[in-house]
Amino acid sequence: MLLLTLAKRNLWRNKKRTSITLLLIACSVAAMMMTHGLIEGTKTSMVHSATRLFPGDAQVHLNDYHVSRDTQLRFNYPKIVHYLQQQPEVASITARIYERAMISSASNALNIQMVAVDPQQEANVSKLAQAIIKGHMLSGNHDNSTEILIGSKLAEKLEVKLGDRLVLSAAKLLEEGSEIAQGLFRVSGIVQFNAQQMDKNWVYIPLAKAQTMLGMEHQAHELAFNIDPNAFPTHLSQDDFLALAFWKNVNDAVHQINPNVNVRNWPELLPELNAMLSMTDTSLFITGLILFIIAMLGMVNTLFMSIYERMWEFAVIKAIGNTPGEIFLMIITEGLLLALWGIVFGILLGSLGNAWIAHVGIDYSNMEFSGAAIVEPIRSEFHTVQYVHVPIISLLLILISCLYPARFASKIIPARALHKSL
Amino acid sequence: MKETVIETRHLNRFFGEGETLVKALNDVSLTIQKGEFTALVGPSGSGKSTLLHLMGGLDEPTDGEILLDNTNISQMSETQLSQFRRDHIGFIFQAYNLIPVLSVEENIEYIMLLQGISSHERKKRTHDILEKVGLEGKQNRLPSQLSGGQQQRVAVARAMVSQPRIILADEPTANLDSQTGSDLIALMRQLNQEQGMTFVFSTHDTKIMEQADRLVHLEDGAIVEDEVK
Repeated sequence: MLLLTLAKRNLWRNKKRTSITLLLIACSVAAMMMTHGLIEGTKTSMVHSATRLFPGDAQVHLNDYHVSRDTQLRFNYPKIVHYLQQQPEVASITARIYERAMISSASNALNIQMVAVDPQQEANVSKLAQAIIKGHMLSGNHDNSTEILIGSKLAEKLEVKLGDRLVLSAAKLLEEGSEIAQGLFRVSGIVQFNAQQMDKNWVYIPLAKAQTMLGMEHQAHELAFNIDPNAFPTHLSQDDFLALAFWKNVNDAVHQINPNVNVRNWPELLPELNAMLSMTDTSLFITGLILFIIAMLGMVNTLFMSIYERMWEFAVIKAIGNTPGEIFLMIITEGLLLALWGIVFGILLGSLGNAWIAHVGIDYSNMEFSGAAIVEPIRSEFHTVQYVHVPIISLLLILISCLYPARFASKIIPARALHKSL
Repeated sequence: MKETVIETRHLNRFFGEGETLVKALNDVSLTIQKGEFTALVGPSGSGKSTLLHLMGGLDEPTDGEILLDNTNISQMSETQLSQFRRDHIGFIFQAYNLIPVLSVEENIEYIMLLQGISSHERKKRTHDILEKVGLEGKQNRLPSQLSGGQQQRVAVARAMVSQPRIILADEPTANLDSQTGSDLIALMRQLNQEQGMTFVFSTHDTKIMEQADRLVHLEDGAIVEDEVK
């Protein structure tokens, strides 16, 4: 009790210095909380942008199609779709065909990536419909449809606009070889994802049309599906997401339908994004370390200044009977109080800052991170880490920074300190 | 038979080394008996304060022994020394005696808190000692709200309240005007006579010398005269 009283009163002897140190600790804690909140928000936004833009939370492929992109790796999908639709965790699912093709306009001919989608299902999985900047979404999944969506940059290269005609030529696989399949299309929409590859190279046609053109009845190269956001706890780490029993169960079930078909979730499909998120964690650690070191140095400085100012006082209290251990505890108590006040103030500041960024968001649209365009404003996220780990680590580091000044004060030799003070 | 409370044996305290070696105390042997009102006198740099600090365990001797109440404090650890001082010695310094963030009452109670004395006993003793030193009614003031003389009276009260056997005072009147200094000496002399506590001063003050039972003269770190009145 005496220690606490003394510590409190000693701290407020120099209000300006104590206030500055408190502010330093508070700002470090707040900055750490906000950095964490913003980085977690960025990660969520990146994952969300990367998965919901087009790929989906998970995909189903034959063998290693996701790596080789060998168009022969096609599979019958209706039974798998039927199974996935029955899973409560699966929110939406769509089938896709990918084929390298040649597209010709009146003025140009280019090699492109043809993507065939079921317009209705696709709208539930990806942002294709929202990415249309001119025209409209494919109106239906008809095998006689002539509608085509093309990337904005591709439209510029082909010098086409809405309603213009295009001829699409792709290889149709036959048992005895292949032949060229052609289709005449009219541009029904221009798509802009702000992802270079997609805007420059991709065209989209109805799935049924592609299946007819390429002789792929009930076949696709890919099933993409999204997970119900409420199916799993929020803010799962990538490792926890990967470890969910759901993935094993789904894979086992799909293997029973077709042993060569595999389900892969986004960390497996987008390893570069996964690596970037890990790198983000490292940069968060480094930022945190720097912030805490600054706070620790501030703390050491404050305590030393306060000790040097009170050398005679330590000499007197040691002379009248305070043990070195009690003086050590006295300084630690001062540090503890400063840390606690600073941390509480910092949590308030950090929460307000995070709430503000969560409310207004930071607009990074038009920016692309490892192939994923950020399509929504980045908003800070509140995590337990900010209210448990950050304060505890701050407190521990600040207390560690008090050890040296406390030891220094406890080792003061009264006679020398009194002599210097006089 | 007289009881020895302080004894120094061949005490040396040197500072620096080689050509800069300063012999602050050189082979000082001295005994002080219970109840004495002793003044260590001598010019500046003669070693008065150094001897007083060594007697109180506030500094370590280069060599020699210090016995307080027959206990050799030269062998004690820092913690043992602090605890010994807490229970056996009261200190009064020239200035800056009090903890500025504590009130008069809290300053006096501080040492008793360290000794683990009950709250009731602390209050009683504080009240009594404040009355003795003439500071009743000022218990809630901070040191900064007191005059220099009043601050020294609080220091005397704090030194005595734990009922130590020895009180060591390092030039306690040096920062006080003549009248306040005289009053303080009279107060300490009165307490010495009433309670039988042993007082050792280091001083230049002739008024203390006049009141002292014994004057130990030091020059260049050595005792040159030991005058018992």
